[in-house]
Parts: sequence; C-alpha cells; structure tokens
Amino acid sequence: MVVKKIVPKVQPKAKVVPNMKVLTTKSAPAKVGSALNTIKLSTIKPAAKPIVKPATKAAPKLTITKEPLKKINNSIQKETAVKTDTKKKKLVEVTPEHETYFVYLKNPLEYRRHLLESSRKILLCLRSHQKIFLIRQKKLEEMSKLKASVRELLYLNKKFNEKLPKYNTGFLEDMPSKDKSKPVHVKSVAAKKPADIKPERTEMDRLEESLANIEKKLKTLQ
Amino acid sequence: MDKNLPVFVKINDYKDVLDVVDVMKQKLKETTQTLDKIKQLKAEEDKELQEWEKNVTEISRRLAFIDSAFFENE
Repeated sequence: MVVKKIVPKVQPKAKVVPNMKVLTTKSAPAKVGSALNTIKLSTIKPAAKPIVKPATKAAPKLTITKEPLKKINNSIQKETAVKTDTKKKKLVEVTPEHETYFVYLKNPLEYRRHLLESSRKILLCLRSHQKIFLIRQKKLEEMSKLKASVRELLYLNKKFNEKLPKYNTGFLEDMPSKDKSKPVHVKSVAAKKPADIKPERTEMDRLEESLANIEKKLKTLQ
Repeated sequence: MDKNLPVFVKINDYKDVLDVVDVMKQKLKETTQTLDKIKQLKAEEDKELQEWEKNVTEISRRLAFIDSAFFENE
C-alpha cells in the first residue's frame, strides 16, 4: 500500500517575522532600535488597526518546520474527524418532508443482470425493426418494378394479339351469317361507352373486366 | 366450320410477332428475377419478425421475473 503523507495547509498566523512589513498608524509609532526602524515613515499608511501582511510566500513554511510533524498530523486528524462528524450528522438529520424508504432486494445483481438483458433485447428489437423497415422499402421498390414489368407484359401481349388474325369463336359457334361478323366491333364500342360515363373507374375494376373478358374467351375456346 | 382451322399470318406481322415474343421473354425473365428477389426479401422479413418475436418473449419473461420478485417483497 502506498501511504500518502498529508502535508497540511496551515494558515499563516499573524506573527511578526523579521522579514515582514508592518503597517501601523501614526498613533502607534515604531519601536526604537528594532528592525522595523528600517521602514521609512513616508511609506506608512494610516489604518485603524495594525495590518500584518506576510512579506513572502515562504513565511508559512518556516512556521511548519519549526513545529514537530506529529503534532501537526494530530491536529489535522482532529480537524478531519470533526468534519466527518458534521457530515454524518447532516446525513442523519433528515426532515420528515424528505423521508425516503428503501426496500431490501435479495439478489440485486441478478435483477440488474435481468434488467440489462432486457435492455439489450429491446435494443435488438429496435434494430430488427429498422431492418424490417429497410427490407420493406426494398420490397416496395421491387414490387413497383414488378408492377411495371407486368404492365409492359400486358402491353406486349396486346400487341401480340393485334398481330394475330382476328376471329370470333362465338361467331363460329353461332349461325354463320355475314351480318353477325360485326358484333366484335360493336362490343368494343359498347365497352368503351361505360368508361366514358364512369370516369371514376379504378384500376381494380379495369383489371376485373379484362379478366372476365379473358375467362369468357377461354370458355368459348373450350 | 372447323375450329382447328390453320391460321395464316402475314410475313411482316410474323417478324413483328417474333420480336414481340422475344421482348416478352426478356420481360418474363426480369419479372421472374424480381419475384425471386421479393421472395428473398420476404424470407428475410419473416426471419427478422421471428427474431423480434423471440426477443419480445424474452423481454416479457424477464420482466415477469423481476415483477414477481418485487411482488414477493411487497
């Protein structure tokens, strides 16, 4: 163990040391024959009480070295003891307004561990939430891509159908007459009219309609 | 008339049809790739959700333990 010696900071006592300047009033004249006679009278300032100031900072050191160290240590110990006592008293003396109650827990470390683990899991949850958020964003992007490509496919399919020769299977099944070859055209016009009347048709409605048309065609083929 | 009559397509249209079919093939390939990616992302999402559920269960378990301990003290 390393024991540190406490070097006390002793306040310099108001002693008159030979190398100290003493400022006195006019009513208190300097003693004749002392070392203070060296001070000029013009430098003396008037004051109600004699003010003593240490001439140098080394002055307190001199006072410490003169006293035995044991005595100083004892005095410091006493001072510190008094201070701690006052602190204890402060802790003990609690007003009824600030009364606090404590509950004893048997295994505090365990609880702490559990709490920390819970916090860790919560953070993991937050991280996974962030990951899911990013994944969903990516998924949405991919779905928009898919939607675009499906639309393109639909358009291409339409083109493909246009290139193929048109024939009405219903017409083949029904009575073969020249007048009934036109209903295809009539149907398309009839299909367009409701679209003009109902401008608030959703994408879903259109898809449903096209699906129904295709199913109808499939049924006729079978 | 027979339904299984042969279909004749103009030669110019036939070329166009072939082009269209090629483009459709490419698009279909792209669509399949996108679908695969979406499937992969969905799997990742499911995994993360499972992890999430697991963590939440663990948290609730620990909290229940702490709660019971505090309740015992009461």
